[in-house]
Amino acid sequence: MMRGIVSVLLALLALLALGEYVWGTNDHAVFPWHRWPGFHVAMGIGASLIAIFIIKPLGKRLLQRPEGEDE
Amino acid sequence: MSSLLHPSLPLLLGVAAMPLAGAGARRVLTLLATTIALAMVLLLPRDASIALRLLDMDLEPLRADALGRVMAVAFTLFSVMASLFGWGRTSRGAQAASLALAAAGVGVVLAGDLLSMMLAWELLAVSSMFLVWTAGPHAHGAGYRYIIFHLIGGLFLLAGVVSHLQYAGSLAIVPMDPSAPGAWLVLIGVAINAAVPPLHAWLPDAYPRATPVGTVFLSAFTTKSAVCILLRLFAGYDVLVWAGAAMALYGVIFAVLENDIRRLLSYHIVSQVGYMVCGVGMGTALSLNGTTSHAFCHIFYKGLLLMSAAAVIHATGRGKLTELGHIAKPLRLTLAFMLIGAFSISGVPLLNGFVSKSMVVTAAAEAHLPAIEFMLVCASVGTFLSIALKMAWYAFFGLAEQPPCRVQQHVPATMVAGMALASAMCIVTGLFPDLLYRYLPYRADYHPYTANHVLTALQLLAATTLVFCFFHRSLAGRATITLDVDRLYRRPLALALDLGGALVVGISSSAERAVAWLIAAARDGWLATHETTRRLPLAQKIALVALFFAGLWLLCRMA
Repeated sequence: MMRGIVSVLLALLALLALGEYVWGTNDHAVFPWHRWPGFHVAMGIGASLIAIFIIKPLGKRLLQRPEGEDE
Repeated sequence: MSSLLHPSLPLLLGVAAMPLAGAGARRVLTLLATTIALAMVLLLPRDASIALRLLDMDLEPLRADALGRVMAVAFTLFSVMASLFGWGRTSRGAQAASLALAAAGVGVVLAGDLLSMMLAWELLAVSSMFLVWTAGPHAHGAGYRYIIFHLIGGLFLLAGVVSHLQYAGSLAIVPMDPSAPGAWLVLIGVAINAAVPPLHAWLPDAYPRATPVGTVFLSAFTTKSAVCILLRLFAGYDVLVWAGAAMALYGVIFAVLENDIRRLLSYHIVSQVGYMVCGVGMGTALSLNGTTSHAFCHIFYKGLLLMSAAAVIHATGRGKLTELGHIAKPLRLTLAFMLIGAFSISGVPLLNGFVSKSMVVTAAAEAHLPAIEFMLVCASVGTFLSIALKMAWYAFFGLAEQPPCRVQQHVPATMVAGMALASAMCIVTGLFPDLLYRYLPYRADYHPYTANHVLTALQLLAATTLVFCFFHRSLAGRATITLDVDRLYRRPLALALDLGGALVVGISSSAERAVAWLIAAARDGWLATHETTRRLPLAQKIALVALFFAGLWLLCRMA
């Protein structure tokens, strides 16, 4: 099931990037990267990976304690 | 004298009538008071005002400008939904505190002068504390920490307001000059209520310890009324841009780590209020409208998320991701409502979060603040990851090897009705944003449903989902607690409270004995008690002297 979801998501991402290239060229783009097709795909992936592989392990080491140490 | 009535009045009358009402009457009273308040807000004429002169000061407890009306509609409408949601599941004290909280919130956003605002502000703090306390003894510590934090904030605010009065000669709520004495004191006082880190720890400390219905009420008023005051007083303060963007990320970072669903959602209040604070700091018409609309929408989608969390806790008796899972089937309606709230807060098109959050992010780009835009977009990704994916997945589905959580009771129809109304608000505002935009206080042209906005939002969300599919096990909850800045002051504060309590008890018991001794002396004659004077303990002698001087001081004051 997970493989099916991943395939659908990959296809959707390709379509969205293509759609952005065709229709979404932003007349109001302020920064150059607003015009790069797929920039937000990369940002979504990058930010999620940071959350999973940097914030979560660092937080576990620095900010989390076993339950019961509360109060 | 104006013939207008303040919309807080029916709510305060509801509080006053609460001790006299039976259980059934209290439910009706709560719903009735909030509904009447909503009707009064909707019927308020544009720019209506109640002005009065008191102690040589011009006060304006009601000024129905565009911002105040939008916020008051959100507060009262949400109060109706929350009252329906909590129908029959709240104690007398909690119902009274909830109504007082709503009255205070409406009072703050409609206040036209700083003194009226401060009175409502303090009522907000006290009623919130009582609402936290009604959860039981386990919430008492959090309630104390809450009120101490807000009393300190209130003192900053008071000092700032007094300085402002001396400088400006008026208490009218107008934008504050950053160079004016008192402006920064007021800003610190308001920042505490807005939960700007590191002054935020009261929020994830207190809100999850209230009753589930209490948390729903608490989520709406304090931070949003602070945002309203920031909009009125501090629009364009640069420091708020960075503080807001840092808040947006800070809340998300802790939400990614959190295991308790209500604590996770509390951190998201910090994060979402960050967008609003950032918008205030930018100070453009678009960013200020974005802040107003985001505050409006946030009240409903965050309320909906906390309502669905409360429904899960009601049905299962559990509120931690590690203890939940495999409840999607019996609680499918609650799951649907939670997903509507989760998609709204994540900025999924066609829901209300999209039409408000995108406005703030666009304003950051148009103000040529690339780092801020980048931080807000990253926070948006973290929001979707931690709420719509992590929380919804692990609360309702869980890992295959996780033992299934037992659903002990059904979610009552009134809870479902409350969630349905909040969902309807998320959907209607998302589908027809002009219903909200036409009432926004500033002139700014913005269209959320452009191809670019929709496509970029969908790209972010789909990419985040893709990463979650691969690595979702890394985000699973763990049976841990997360340390925040409150750890720095919890123990010293507990020690100070214990010492203070012991001192008060010691003084009062000594004073009691001293008074008893005085009475005995008066009754039996000085000589009869004179011998015992030598045996009077030192503490009682000190209390006697203190009582004497207190009486003397009182006499002098009266003279």
